[in-house]
Amino acid sequence: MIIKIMRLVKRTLISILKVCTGCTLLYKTNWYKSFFVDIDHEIYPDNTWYRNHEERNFDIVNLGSLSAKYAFNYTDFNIKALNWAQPQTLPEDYQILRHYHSILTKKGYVIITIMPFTGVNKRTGIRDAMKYLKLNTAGTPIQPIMYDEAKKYAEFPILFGKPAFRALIYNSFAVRVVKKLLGKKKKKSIEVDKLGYNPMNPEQLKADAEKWMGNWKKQFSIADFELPLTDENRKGREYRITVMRELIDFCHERDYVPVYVIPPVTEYLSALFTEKFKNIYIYDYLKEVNRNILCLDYLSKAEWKDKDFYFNSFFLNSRGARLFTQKVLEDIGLLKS
Amino acid sequence: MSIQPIVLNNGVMMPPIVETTNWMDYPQMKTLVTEGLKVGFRAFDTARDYGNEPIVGRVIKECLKQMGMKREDVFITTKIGNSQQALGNIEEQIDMSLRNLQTDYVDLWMMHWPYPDYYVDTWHKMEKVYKSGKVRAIGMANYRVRHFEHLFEAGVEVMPHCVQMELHPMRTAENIVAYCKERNIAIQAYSPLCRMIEPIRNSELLKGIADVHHKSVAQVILRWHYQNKTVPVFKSLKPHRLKENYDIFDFELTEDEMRQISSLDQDYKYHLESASCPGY
Repeated sequence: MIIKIMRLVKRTLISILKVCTGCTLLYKTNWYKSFFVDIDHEIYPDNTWYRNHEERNFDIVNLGSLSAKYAFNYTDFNIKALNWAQPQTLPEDYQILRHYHSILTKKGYVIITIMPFTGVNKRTGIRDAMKYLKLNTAGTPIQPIMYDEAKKYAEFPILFGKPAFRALIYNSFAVRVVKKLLGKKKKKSIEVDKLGYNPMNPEQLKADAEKWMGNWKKQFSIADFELPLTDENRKGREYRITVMRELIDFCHERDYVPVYVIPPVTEYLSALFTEKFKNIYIYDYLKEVNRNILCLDYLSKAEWKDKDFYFNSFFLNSRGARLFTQKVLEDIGLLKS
Repeated sequence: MSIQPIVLNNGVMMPPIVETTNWMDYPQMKTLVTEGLKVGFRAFDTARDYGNEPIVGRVIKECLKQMGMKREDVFITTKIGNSQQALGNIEEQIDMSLRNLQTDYVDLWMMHWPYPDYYVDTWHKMEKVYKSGKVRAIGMANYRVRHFEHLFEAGVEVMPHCVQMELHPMRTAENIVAYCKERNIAIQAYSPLCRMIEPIRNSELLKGIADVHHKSVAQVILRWHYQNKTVPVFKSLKPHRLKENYDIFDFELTEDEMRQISSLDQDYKYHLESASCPGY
């Protein structure tokens, strides 16, 4: 009885704290909601999803990071498929598969999307850990690094400080009233990935490609793409060789078919991927993983050079994604060409 | 009307149909267990992960008293969850379950999931508990053949007595069923009616067989389980359904009807195992 009362008191105090610090208001903001993936339980077949959907025995799922998210669009095809790609790294790909693979049919395909830096070190932080918190997961979290801290920040988003205060002010009643009085309407943003052409001109695409390369240098602490891997990236590589092997073995044990897919990029970005670069960051990695599985490599294929398949120098747009997905489905035999 | 129990490989008798109690509160469970006992149910299923072992204990104790029955008149199954497997104190966990259930023994104690990295060790500890007499039989739920193979490779002292898994006409799991039958491991079937989802509810084949026998589709499926010697573990929140679903012992499906029902198999799993047991 005493324990129950103590729990009730604790719950009440926490609720008061959340109200007083503005957290209850923050929960309703888009700023807060944008931290999490799949809050509607529509992408990952978790314990909420399966009670709302009767479809089972899916033919194919794809893993991967943002390039894969944009590369696959299964809506036009009469197959059961899920695109599980997010801005995430290989260890999260594997965790996602461990948590949700039961949706796959026997001999179902697991597309492992390879981008140039799948096989090198990438440190994840609190925002990466927060991303998966709203998924209905049992046992091991998708992103165990900083998991406890992420839970704390998700419960008390005011801990983010400045951006949280900004979100509070932006969503406050007074600001909303003023905006309404001034007749300020939210600008309708163009969803560039939904375009059937590339909104960038050749100069912009060239600059965009160079920007990607520059950002990757910073992100992965690389001084020169032509040089061998740094010690840190070598360590990251070793870890990712193990993870990839585990992922592939996991698929085989469960009678799924793992397939590597290397999506294409525009000619502007492709021009910066030298042979040495591709060997160091892609092909040597896959060689070291040393698992003999189907590898569909579209990176340098001429048929994907057209800039209008993309919405920048790197990501496929919706038209490109539909054509590319069709090609992959044909190449693995799920669709007849 | 003769109702044949299932005899486990250690001689323990298990009723051929089980009422489960998952996610029920006290008033609901009291009504349903009372009704269940009235219509003939003698086996009740729970699990630590259902969060209601203490309610099951209280309800069963009260109902047995009210109906002038003894503890040994009913067969109680409970299960050990993944978080308890991770804790590793399996012997302490059975004591906790016994306290929750207000009983000196559990009839069947199961490992709820083949929790990766833990399930072999858990089994070996469950074997010790079995030898202590606190449980009359031990088993597991949600195992595939690969899990059994892995466990047997590691070595067992006690052959599992029973396995519980999702089983219904849309998931006949023939390979697992055959594997268990070869080893004399009894089978309990959860979601035995596949939640009466549309393809089951509106199946012309099932409706046709039901009409021939003047029974409902659910009764036909439960009878199919009974004749297959797989023990349906089902839940209903409607007391009249319990009566209807127990009324399956006065007719018999022909071999052809049994085959036709099995032909509905699509390897359809209503419950997605990996969502409850990552790495499954």
